[in-house]
Amino acid sequence: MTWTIIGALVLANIVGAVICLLLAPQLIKVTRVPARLLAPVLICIIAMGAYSYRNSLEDVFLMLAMTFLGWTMRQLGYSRPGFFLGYVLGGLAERYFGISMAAHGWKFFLTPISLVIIAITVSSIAYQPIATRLKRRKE
Amino acid sequence: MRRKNIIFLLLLLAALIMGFLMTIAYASRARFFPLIVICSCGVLVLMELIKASLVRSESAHQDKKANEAGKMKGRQFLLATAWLGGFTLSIWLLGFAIGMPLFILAYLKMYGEKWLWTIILPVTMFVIVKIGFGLLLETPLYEGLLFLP
Repeated sequence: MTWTIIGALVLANIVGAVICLLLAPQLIKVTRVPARLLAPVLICIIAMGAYSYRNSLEDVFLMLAMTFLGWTMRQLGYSRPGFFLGYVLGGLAERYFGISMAAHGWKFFLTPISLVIIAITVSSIAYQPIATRLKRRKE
Repeated sequence: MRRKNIIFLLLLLAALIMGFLMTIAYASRARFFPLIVICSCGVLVLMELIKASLVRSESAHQDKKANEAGKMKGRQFLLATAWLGGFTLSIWLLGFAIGMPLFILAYLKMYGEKWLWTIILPVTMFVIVKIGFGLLLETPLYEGLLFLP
């Protein structure tokens, strides 16, 4: 049974790769579709996707509100992938943080892995301002 | 741009304060993680706010250039907002099956698209919504305020 599944996966990947290679010249034409044709259709499909999650119109309005947030962030030069990562990983981080706190209590912050993660986080936040200041001082 | 950034940061700060006030009512274990996130975000937003307010105004030439670009972007933003507002209104009033094809039809016609695409795309969208989502996936489609019993 296991080998049948593995075999099917291997075969599916090979067939998929062959189809992709053969159809690539045709599929590439999708990128040449003008934005004025794609935009309204995409907005509708995205709205349907948002609606069908809970069958609620509020989700569509939320999707539109997030569109404005994304646009504003883009205009002001804020990282949208960063925001999205935080949004997706926030729930997981909270859950596992709760589990860790329940298991180790406050000592959880003093475990080697926690200290390393805290150090990486602090240095990644502090790196850019410090590097900019050092660069200015050199100039 | 600088003023817009300050407004955005103030809004963000207001949202964080609101989140803080909501979270403080939670049980001690439940509020711990959100409070860490809110407080660290608050510190970063405050730092950014101070940085943005300390930046000196750009030179007159740069200001003029920025103003022109800002006006252009503002116009684009208004246009996009108007289209999205129309989209929301059409769905709210007419429902998905009629509102969406109507939106596509209006959009394509306003941008001077040929009749062929102006007909094909709304019909395709109607088929996707009505048959794909409504019949095959059995999604209870919103029928619109005008058609509600």
